[in-house]
Amino acid sequence: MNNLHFLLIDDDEIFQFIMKNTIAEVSPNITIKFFSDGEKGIDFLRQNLGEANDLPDIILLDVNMPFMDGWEFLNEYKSLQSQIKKEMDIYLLTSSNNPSDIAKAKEISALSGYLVKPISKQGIKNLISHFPTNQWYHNEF
Amino acid sequence: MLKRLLLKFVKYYLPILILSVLAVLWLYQKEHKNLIAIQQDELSNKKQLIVELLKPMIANLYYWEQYSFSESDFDPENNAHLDKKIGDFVIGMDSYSQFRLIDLSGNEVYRLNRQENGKIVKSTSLQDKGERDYYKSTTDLKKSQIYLSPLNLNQENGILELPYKPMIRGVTPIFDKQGTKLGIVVINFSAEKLLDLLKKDNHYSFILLDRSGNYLVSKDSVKEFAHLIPNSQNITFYEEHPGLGDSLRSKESTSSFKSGDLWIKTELDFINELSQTPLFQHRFADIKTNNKWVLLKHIESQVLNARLKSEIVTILLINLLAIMVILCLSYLEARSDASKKKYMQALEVMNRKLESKSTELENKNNALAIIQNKLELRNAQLLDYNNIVAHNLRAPTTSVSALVSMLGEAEDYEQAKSYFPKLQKVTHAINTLVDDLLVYVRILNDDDLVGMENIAMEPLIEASLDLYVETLDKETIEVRTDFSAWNEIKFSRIYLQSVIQNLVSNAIKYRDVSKKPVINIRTLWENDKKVLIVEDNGIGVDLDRYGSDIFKLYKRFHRGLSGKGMGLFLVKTQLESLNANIEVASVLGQGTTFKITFDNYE
Repeated sequence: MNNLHFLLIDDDEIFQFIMKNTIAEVSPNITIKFFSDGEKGIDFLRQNLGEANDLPDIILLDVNMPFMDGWEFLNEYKSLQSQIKKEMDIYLLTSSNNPSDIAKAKEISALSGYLVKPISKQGIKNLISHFPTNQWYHNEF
Repeated sequence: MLKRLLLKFVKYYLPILILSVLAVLWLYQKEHKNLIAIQQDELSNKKQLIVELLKPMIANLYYWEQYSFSESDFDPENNAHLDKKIGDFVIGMDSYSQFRLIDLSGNEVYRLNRQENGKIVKSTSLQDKGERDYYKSTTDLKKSQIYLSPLNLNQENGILELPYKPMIRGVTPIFDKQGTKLGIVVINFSAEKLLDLLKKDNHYSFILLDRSGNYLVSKDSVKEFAHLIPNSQNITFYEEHPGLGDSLRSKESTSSFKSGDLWIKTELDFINELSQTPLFQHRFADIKTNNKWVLLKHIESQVLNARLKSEIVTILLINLLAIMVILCLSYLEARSDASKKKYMQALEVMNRKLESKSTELENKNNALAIIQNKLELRNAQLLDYNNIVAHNLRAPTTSVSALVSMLGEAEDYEQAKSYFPKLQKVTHAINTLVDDLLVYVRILNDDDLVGMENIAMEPLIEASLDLYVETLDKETIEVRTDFSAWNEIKFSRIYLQSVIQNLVSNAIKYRDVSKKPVINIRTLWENDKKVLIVEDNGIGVDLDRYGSDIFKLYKRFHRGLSGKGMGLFLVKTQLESLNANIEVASVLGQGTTFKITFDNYE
């Protein structure tokens, strides 16, 4: 349980730094990989389709990013989903609790939940405790 | 008002007046025609009466002409045997006042008189009539000729008998069997009864004239027989009415108007009328007379008008009534016309007011529509602003709080120190964002205060290109301009400069290095609106992918090219704040076209 792989797709370097620190504090066994936009993220997945070990268990996906935002990523992901040989939970990350964003997120089946920044240590712990989830999850905001 | 009233009155009354006049004229004509016809009938009856009364005398004269007198019958001493025969005859004929035989020398040889009491008396004082007209005119009468004298007054011994006795003498010659003339028979036909009959039953005055116009019957009895009575004022009808003679003499039966009086005339020519009797018709006898009478009816104008008086009064009353009714109607109509006119005027005023109100309303509507557009735009801008604050501001602030809490939990100074550059970066990002937001908010707030001026396009574009002169020269980027459609616009100079700088900057930044870059700036008209086109042949942008985001804040679509994603966001905000809008068309690898449409710009 503790040796989960995280993938954070977010262009905010500071947030990447904060998440790295937070996750390290939760458990040193949890690994985390960063991509600064959706395009880079989807490229990574595409390159590692068959290699379950390199694929993450949890993807944290920011909405606002240059070149390819979160929604576009999810679109691309959909076409890859059938080829991915691993159970993955994808959580949408956003700095706002915009109701229209939440409604839009719930429509997407590939998503497991919705997280509003900031994400605390406890937030990561809760997330892990729910993994793998087949129910809609969102943190408290 | 009074003039209109009068006009209306005349309009309605004139036809009635004309009809009335025509009716009166028609009535007059009809009345006169009737009157003339009736009077002619009456005159014709009178004429017939005269003829009928004279006929027996003709027959009697003929009888005595045929009677076989002998020479001795003309001897007063030897003709007493005639008494019985002639006496019986005269008794039966009560209109005969005398029966006489006169010999060839003019002496009466036999005479029977009818006295006032009707008794027949044989006169013994026989007179000499040799000098009388009737004797003289009959001396040359031939056999079977019968003579009728004019109607005159009886004379005895050369003196008019009083009271006047109007009479006609019938004369016929007597011949013996050998054809020798013995003398004449004279029968005095008393015309008193005839004249009485003629004077009877006349509604209008009846006049009888002889052939010379002497009065035989007149309503004024002094005029009757004035030509026979000595010392009387003898004046004929034609002398009394000089104008009438010609028109009355023109025909046997006729009528004539003179000074409003109506005259109806018919003639009685004895020879003509009596020749219809069988005696003359079959030439048993021959008539000789000079008598030609004129029968006249005279209807005076007052009498004539009186007859029509009631009808005319009726017509006058009808006219009076019509005048009153028409006056009332005209008054009402004129008044209703006036009020109608007033009403129409009021209506027109109302209409004009409504029209102006409607234009006012329309203007207000237009103003409202403009305001609504502005509000919608402002709403969208506020939503943008909201999103920017929510996403772009919240992210770094949460980062700050996370970093701060991390700082608090830092185990040593070295660890804490490693967080400072991160904090610095975040605060810098926040500052930049706040600065950008300020620019944005200023545009939103300033839109009404921004100075509008007439801007010549060419120098503005030149100035904008000058900023990039180094790049343009070094990279040999060709800039083509065409301002033939329009070259001047009223807009905010600062905004337009900013817009053009951003678009040119974008065109330079996203040029395609594999080909000679060209930037095309031109003006044109579209749907009566000014349009500015900025076109490049650069790398283009995938609008299917980014179309909805291209004008949004901090959106970047090209990896490896610097840009913070503020330019197009500003361009759109500035244009929209002044009622212009921007559209984009792009094909990857071919280029991008920005089209700015200025709504309602001079």
